[in-house]
Amino acid sequence: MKRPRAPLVAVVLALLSRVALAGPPLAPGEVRERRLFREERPLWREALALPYDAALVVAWPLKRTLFWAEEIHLDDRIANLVRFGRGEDEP
Amino acid sequence: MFAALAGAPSVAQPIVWKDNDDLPIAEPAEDHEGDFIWWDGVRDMALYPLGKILDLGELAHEVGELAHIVGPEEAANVNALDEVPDSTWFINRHARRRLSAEALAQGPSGVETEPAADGPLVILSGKSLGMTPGFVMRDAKGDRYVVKFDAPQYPEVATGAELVCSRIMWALGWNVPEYDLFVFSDRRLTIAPDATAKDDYGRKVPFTTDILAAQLKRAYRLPDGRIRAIASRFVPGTTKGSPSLLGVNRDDPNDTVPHEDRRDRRGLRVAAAFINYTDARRGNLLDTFVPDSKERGSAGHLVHYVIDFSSALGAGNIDWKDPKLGNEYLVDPVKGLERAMTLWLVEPAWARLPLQHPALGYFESSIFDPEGWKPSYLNPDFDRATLRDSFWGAKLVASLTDADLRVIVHTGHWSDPRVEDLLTAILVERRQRIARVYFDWLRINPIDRFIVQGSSLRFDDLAVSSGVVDASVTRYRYRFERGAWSSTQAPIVPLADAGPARIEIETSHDAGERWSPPTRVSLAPVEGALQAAELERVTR
Repeated sequence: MKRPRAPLVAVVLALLSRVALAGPPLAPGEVRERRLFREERPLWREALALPYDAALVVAWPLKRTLFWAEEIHLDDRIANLVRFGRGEDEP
Repeated sequence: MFAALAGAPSVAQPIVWKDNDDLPIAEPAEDHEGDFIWWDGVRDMALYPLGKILDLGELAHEVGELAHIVGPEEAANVNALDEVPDSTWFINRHARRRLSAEALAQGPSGVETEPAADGPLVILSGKSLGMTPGFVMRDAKGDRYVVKFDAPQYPEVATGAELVCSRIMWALGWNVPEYDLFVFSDRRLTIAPDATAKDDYGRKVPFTTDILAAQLKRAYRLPDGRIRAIASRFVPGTTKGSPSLLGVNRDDPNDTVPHEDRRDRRGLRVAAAFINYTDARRGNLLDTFVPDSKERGSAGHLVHYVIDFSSALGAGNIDWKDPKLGNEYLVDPVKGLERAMTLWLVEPAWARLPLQHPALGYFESSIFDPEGWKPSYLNPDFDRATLRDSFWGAKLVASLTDADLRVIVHTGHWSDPRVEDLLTAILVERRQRIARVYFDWLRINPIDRFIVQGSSLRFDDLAVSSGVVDASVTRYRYRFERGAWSSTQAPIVPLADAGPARIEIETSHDAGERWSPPTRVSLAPVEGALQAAELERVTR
């Protein structure tokens, strides 16, 4: 008797779970509150990391330069210029 | 999160085997910083080490660790049994419940997912990243794939590595895209009218027949003219770029453990060493946002993947991997200085390695050192790995038996049958080396899988079960609540009664001469049955 009902139950459960999951996003604070695992870094550890944070700020121009250089394939452009004397429009 | 054991709990909470990091969140922004390898290398090789000095808290901890005042900073996402629960980053698979040979061979999808055998293959764009030639296409079923080839002079090298290593990583527990062998005739290829590619200078240009011809010129063809390729079906969801190796994604409220403190990120080092996945960098991680419903703006969650194994084993994407990689960083100032001090007269061992086989390059096991193994450049997550993280990673690797490895290696579809034997033998030896290093009883007690059976606690000695130590030299000693030690040759502790208990166990692999650091197990009723409820591994 139970067998023919099994697929129906599965469909209903799947639909219900879909409905349950399809709700609006939770507020970030609520997600954090509900999470089983979370690691909090104490404020004093954040303060002690300030010299490193400063180094990251100082390195920011280098970061942007490297992003740009890689994006335009600066290495290939220079290599082509040195080897073949080719301009930008002749890769 | 879980404090050290204070005593046996009378009743314990169920063990957390599923992390709830898939709570519904709003769609996060894309982050493509990981696509830029130059900055990635500079940051990880120069700024990250600098951070160990400039972050004063970090520095104090390092000094404290050297002085044995504090222990190592252990991973944060482990349960009471020191295991990693299933999450959007990692799912316990073969090491927890053995997969069938069919499942190991099938890999992530569990079903056939390769592109349609007939019909047009429509090129949608060139591959935006990576060195391997290829493109993005749509098959007759409407599925989208990334297609990658072997270089003509290096048949099966990159595609074989991708097929085998993606299955290994999936079996161990990481999320990977599906990678299938795809042999096709270029006559099936057509180019979508709006298809684009990038030129040599990274500029977007229309994908023309000339570009296609140039791509196919860089592809290895079988004797019958067809192309051997890898087809990787697009993973579900919207791609969001690569997660950072340090810190959390502030756009993802589910991301509450800094990535460098995740065991699945730290322990990946051992698996990466096993398959020589030297390209284990930020750019080879991928996040996708999977919505909970098809409605526009639906809430969902991120899923995290490890991708691109075309430079694992002996493959270097388009050729053989330089045998230096895995042994040294791409730019390794320390090794460079060491060599300079010997006036470059001492040749490193890797420089004398013979080619193993044209399909495997220089991938080998004779000089493989699991602890000395290095990715192409420093990976901060790997750098944070403690012995307990590596022990966990080694457990995963050791779960693959010789037969399992043979099944997976077979999926590489190697034309020379000798490759299967050779690659299996190399992987077996690398696995054994990993077991010898990380199941070393003088550093960590290699016992695991605790089960209460009747009136005894049984466990496995992983060094014995993985075949690196003979059972005849093993001894175990145990005591209850700091009582007197009793010893036994079998991995069994008799229990006086069926109540909660806290047992300290040490292992000897030299017949009782020396003893391992202790492992402390608390037994308590969990959901009605007495079982291991908490575990503390001490390392030396």
